[in-house]
Amino acid sequence: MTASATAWISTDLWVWVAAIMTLAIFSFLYRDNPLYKFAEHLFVGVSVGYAIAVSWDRVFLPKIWTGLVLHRQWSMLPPVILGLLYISFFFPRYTWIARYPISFMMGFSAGVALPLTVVTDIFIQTRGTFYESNAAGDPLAPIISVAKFQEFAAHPGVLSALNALYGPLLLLGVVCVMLFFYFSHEQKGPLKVAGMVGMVYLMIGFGASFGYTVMARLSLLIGRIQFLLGEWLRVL
Amino acid sequence: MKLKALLNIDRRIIYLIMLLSVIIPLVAKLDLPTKVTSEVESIFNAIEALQGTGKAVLISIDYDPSTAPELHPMSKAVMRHAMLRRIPVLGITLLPQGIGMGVDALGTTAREYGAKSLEDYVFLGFQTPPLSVMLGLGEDIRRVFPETYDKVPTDTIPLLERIKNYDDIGLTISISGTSIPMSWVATAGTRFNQPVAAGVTAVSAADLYPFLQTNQLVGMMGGVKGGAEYEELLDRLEARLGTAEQRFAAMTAEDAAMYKTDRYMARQIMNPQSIAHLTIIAFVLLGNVGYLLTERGRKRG
Amino acid sequence: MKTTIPLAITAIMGVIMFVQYFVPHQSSENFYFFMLDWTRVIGIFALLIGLSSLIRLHGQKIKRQVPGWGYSIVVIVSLISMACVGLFDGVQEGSLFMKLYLYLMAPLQSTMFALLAFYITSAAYRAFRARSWQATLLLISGVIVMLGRIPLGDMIWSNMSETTRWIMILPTTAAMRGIRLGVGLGMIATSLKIVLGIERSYLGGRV
Repeated sequence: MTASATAWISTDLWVWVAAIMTLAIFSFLYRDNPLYKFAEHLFVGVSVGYAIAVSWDRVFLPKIWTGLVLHRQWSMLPPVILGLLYISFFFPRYTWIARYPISFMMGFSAGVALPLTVVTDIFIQTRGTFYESNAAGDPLAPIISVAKFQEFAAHPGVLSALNALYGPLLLLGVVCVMLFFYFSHEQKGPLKVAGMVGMVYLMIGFGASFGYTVMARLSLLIGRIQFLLGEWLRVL
Repeated sequence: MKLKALLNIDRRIIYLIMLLSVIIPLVAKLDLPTKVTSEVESIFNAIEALQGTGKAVLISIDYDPSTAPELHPMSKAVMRHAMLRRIPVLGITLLPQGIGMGVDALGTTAREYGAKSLEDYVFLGFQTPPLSVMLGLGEDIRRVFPETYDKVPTDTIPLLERIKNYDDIGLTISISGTSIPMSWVATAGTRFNQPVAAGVTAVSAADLYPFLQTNQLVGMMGGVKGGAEYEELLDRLEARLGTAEQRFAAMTAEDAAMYKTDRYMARQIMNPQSIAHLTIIAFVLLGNVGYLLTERGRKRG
Repeated sequence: MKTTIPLAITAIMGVIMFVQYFVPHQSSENFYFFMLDWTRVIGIFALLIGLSSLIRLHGQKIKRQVPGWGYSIVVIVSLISMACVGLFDGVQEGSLFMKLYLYLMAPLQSTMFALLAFYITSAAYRAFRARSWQATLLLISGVIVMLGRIPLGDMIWSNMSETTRWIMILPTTAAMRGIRLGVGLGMIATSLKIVLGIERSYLGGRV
């Protein structure tokens, strides 16, 4: 928050810097211009400088300088050597040496990701398609439930109908969406019908995603306008 | 000719109309009601249930200024709720850019509620890589974060003698503009059965609904509306308890005005958001009306 | 040397980390954290590569004085300045570094993304046409969600937010889950191919 609340415009130099940078980027909406280009290139430089400083302070100093150099934690020596092999990128004849640290990182990432992906993206998502779980930890109930249809029969209405149909429609949707992306066989006959149903689900889903994306981008615009009108111009 | 004009409005006029649809509601201080959804209320109820248990709320502040308008109000609302109920708050960040966000959010809310650093809340700062942090917190928080953001050794903090790992954390809330909440679900949620909630940008919210349906997420705040809903729930709670008025009466007028505005951030954004949404829908309909009329004319011709 | 050893490293690390997940013993967890520390240290050096590429690109632009080379000076000067301020003055709250972050970098970044709001409006006006039943479905769904996420939506139709919620929990969940399952299977296949040495594109060059 800035000082001098009674002024009609902010007197804080930093707020002015932020306001000018904001307007410089917005100027691109009219057309490309030197002010925008200056702000754009400034952003690139400052972002990289920021990453360097934070990485130095938060990772390099504690792990490499303090750990390895000062406290002689030799277990940190192999990764430092592996990391230094990246420097071979600067020598065209020896760039293949950089494959060693890359391979280490790739092997580690692939090995860690495999079981996590299987559990989170496959097992749990598949289970969620067939069973619904209770947040209190009660036993899982099938998502397609005769009881829900009986409830609908006993008390017919929109809500009970939706409740009963939720499970079958969800299962249908998931299966049909997956079949939409199945290209190992020609999409004809039942496969084509399933693909069309999948497309209906996808179109509705993408429309919803579009709506959420619009919301996200507008929030950012509103945030900047709030800053300009509130903190800089003191109109709000 | 008129039809062609309908289909070919200059883009700068469109930009200007969009800009006005944001500025006018802000300046006119439009005030629209906020309807609360069950996904957000679940998070609110989960924090309410932590009262008196001694367990903490872990808030992972994983966003940068590019997504701050959507996510920062969410962070503050959740922190305010926890501090109101005297539930310990642990703040961490898995992104370097989240440090500033965490410092601002915790600092502002702590000052409003008189919460003390290292007693009522701790900002542990940034650590990487994310998976290491998420898994390490299941064993020992102090091992993952040997010192706080302010370089205080964590083994000297009494709060962290009591709050050691996920067993002592009642809820983990990941507030992020990336896919980090999914990683929290996969690690803390799946491996340690830690209740996880998410606060995400509207763009990511659609991707997380499958996790809500399977109860892998306790609840979700999606976009600025999610933050607005949580602010609304908090205001209703404070109105019932009468705590807000007491607190503001004890402050200077300037501070009270500042905090009142700060508590309303997400809802303030929702007002121009509503008008801007209508503007976009109007443009889409306009474009389609022009297109359909053109097509009809073409078919006749 | 050039191909076999890197592939062997990938395979060994992949298998070890895969097996580690299933070993519940404390030593397995300790080994995991140990390896994680290694990846963090190695990752720091990868940052240097990116940095050198950037400096080389802009350095060449300045050297050859291509049109717009002045902006390359802006990049390099701002990079060095920001890094030096952080390295020598520190990155703690209240420092000059944090001020530059909050009042220079953050507004630039936010505003870049805020421009998208204008482009979305213009693009939606020009391209969002109900040309087919699929596009119409997408359009209707998008409009309902946009209305359902604002208070005015419920004023137009009292069930707007409930309909939006239904759209999110049923067709959107089904669509995203179907995509997610497919992507998950793809990730598993790709990870296996990497570990088994079938996928070698990450090595670059001729393998």
